[in-house]
Amino acid sequence: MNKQVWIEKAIGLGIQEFEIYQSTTVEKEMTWFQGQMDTLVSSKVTGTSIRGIVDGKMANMALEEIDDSMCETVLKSLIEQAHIISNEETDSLRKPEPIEYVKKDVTWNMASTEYVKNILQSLEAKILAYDPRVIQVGYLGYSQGSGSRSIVNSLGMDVQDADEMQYIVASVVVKEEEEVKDASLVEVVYDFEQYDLDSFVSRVCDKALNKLKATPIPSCTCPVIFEKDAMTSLFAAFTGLFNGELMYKGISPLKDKFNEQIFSEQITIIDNPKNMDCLSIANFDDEGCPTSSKTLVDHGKYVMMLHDTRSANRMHTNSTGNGFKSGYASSVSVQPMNCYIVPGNDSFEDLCTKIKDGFVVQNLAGLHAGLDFVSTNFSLQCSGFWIKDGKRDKNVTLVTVANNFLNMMKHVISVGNDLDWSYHQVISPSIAFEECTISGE
Amino acid sequence: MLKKEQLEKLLERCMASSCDFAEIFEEEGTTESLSMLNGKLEDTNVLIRAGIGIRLYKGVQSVYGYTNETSEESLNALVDDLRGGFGIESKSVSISLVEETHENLHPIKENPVEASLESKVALMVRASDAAKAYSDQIQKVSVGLASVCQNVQISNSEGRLVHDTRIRCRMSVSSFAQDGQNLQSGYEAPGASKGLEFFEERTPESIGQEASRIALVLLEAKDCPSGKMPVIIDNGFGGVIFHEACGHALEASSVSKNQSVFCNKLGQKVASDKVTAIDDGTIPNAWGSQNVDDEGNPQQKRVLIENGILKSYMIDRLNGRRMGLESTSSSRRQSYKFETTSRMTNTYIAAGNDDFDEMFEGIKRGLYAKKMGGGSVNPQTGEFNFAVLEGYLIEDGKISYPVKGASLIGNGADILFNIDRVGKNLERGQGMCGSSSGSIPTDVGQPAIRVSQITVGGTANE
Repeated sequence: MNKQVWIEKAIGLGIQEFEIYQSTTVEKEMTWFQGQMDTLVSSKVTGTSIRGIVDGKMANMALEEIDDSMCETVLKSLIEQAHIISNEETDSLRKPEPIEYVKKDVTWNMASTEYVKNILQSLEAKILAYDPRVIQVGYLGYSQGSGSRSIVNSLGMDVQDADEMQYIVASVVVKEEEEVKDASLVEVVYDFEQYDLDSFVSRVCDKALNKLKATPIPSCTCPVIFEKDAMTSLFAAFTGLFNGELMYKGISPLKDKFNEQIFSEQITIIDNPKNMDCLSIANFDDEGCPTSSKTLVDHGKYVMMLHDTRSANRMHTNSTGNGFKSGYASSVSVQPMNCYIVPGNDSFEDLCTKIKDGFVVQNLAGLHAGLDFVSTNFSLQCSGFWIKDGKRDKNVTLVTVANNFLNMMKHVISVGNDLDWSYHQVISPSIAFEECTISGE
Repeated sequence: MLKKEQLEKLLERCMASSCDFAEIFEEEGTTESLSMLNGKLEDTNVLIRAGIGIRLYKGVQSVYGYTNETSEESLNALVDDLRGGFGIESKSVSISLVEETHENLHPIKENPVEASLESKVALMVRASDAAKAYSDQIQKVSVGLASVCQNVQISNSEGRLVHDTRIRCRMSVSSFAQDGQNLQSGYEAPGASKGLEFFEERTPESIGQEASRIALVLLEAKDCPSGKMPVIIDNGFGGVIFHEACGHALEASSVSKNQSVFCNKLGQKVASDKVTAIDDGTIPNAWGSQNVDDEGNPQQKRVLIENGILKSYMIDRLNGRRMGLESTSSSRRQSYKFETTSRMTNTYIAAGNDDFDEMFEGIKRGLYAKKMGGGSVNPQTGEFNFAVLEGYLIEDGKISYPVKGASLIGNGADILFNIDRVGKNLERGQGMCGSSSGSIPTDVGQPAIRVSQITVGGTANE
């Protein structure tokens, strides 16, 4: 693709501003099942998306097959789409701005196919030997990938970057009498030569084994701790609360709450795409806007919302560098990156001591359906354990935990200190809340 | 798309390895999405899709590669990479593809991708206006219209060469109702493997009005009580209960690896006598229908459970090898970027004979789930959950008041036995099902059913 030819042709056809975004991903995945390689997946995909502004209206297209001979046809289609846009606001692309680049000081030592086979074979054997109650390694996989992105536009923008990663994932099935449970663990691995496989095995196996002998409990209302993984899932589902686009559209639950105290004073939330503790960092978003660290909620007060260029323009402010795509084929939208609830001082054990008697939620299911973002009500299948006199008591399964997220975040007992980024881009430490409704027997 | 001779050469190159089967899945198409807020078109996005996925088998092992770089050099490099996964051999295999033709069971009148933007925007405006006009309490209305045209060409080392075209469209409406600080939303999103003629039978006005009706009900709803109780789940999207609680656990991807609660239960009683469940990919123009599955097999109607007895799983070629069973034409995938596996199409509980009103009799306290949201399941344990979008408390055999924030949880193997009434009013609803081979369109369906006891998760303090 000759990008300059496309830009010149676009301008010539009457597109006032024109942008080309391209990404290339190269990935290799292997799964292992019952003593042999199960699947091996290899891929290379380059995607191109274009945006054009015609009379202040923006249209988007993405192409998986691109050829300079298609240029005029594609651009005319883009113009036709822009003409049908009927909103009253004016959109624009970004001019280039100074970007302060930071770089993570890490080296990836990518494993070869044969080495991965050896690793997975070893892992499977270790997992199966860990405990007689381990009956199957339900899923065992390795994935490596590298990606690059570039943004060029008719206003002079010309930025690019690249990223890579590798990780392993295992799902372990355990059984005791007729009860079957499973648990999964994903771990980013920079260098297998330096990696402790035994630690991975014990953590994933213990995670599954600790779910056994679980039963429902009678329905009740009680203090609840959302352990870090469960709290991360719940928090991630509600990060749209800080989305400037939803705020502008008037469909955010916080639409009249800016600069108000919305959460407990113990809650501070920061979004920082340049956070070096995270797996991936971004010096600019998918519009080429420089990223930065922002405090969204300061001791419970809602002080900043996230914006891309469009939502910022409509609310007469500046983009926060949070215009990201969910892949080349999607439009830019407001998304958090490396967003977290700032940890407190209490260990997980301290949280248990503080609530004395209550329920610890370790696993949540059905987050895509069991919560209503508009009302912030949620009712979710969960499992975990009961706490009695501050100590772990019986395991609990097949119950639901329900509350209103905004209301619950006002009634925090304490925020834990166990923040663990791992592969996440949105994360929370464990948090103890005054009460939730548990539905069981 | 590659020509027949190119495919034959590529397949022959694949087979020059220790693999015993090779398949090429090609895809071209367009996906268009339009979104509107309060009657104004906000966004358009068009994706021109084109790519190829190549799969090799050796026994029950598979290697899969995909790319959108379709030059001969790139594809040969991909095949050589894949062959390396099993071991390259110099054996010579001659492949001669024979084109299969299948009747198009899902003809359309007006291709939604090719229709004018103006005509589609006009449909959206009709939905938006109707939703807004439903009540003064409706503050905002968003409307989406998604149109898909997917052309596939599937060839394999056994000589198969098949083409299929899948066309579908779906309109979604979200209505936001407000009463003071109480903000609620309603949602309706019907679709079909049809062109824009679909909106003649399911008018945009009816879609908008239904979304607003639900939002207004939720404004009045009280918190749902908790605990085990009888639940009546109404028809249409209520069928998500079977989809989640049982359907996924009947897919060969779980069964073949002994990761389902329904393993080794063919011919055994797995549900109450009242339950007959079907997965039918041949229903004309249904949302989850195809002419052929994504391995090129003609779609089928599969009776999964008949009067409570497990009759069939849903099986793709690779997992069929593990199980020693033939494919049931159940192989599906989102796109060339996903290795295909066993999936549902249009899955429903067949109509029974029970009277709807009679189902309420004798229930002292229960839940009537008129509209369901989505859900999920762990096939390994059978534990499922799904959300109630519109629900009502039942007290002393009668509908009492609307409730919000309810979810239903349980174990799939248990709940099938607890279905004690199956009504006559079979309908289907549309959803997108996510699993290892991506997000695919599936219908769920059922008549109204009664479950004698299920755990209801609610928010009410009692």
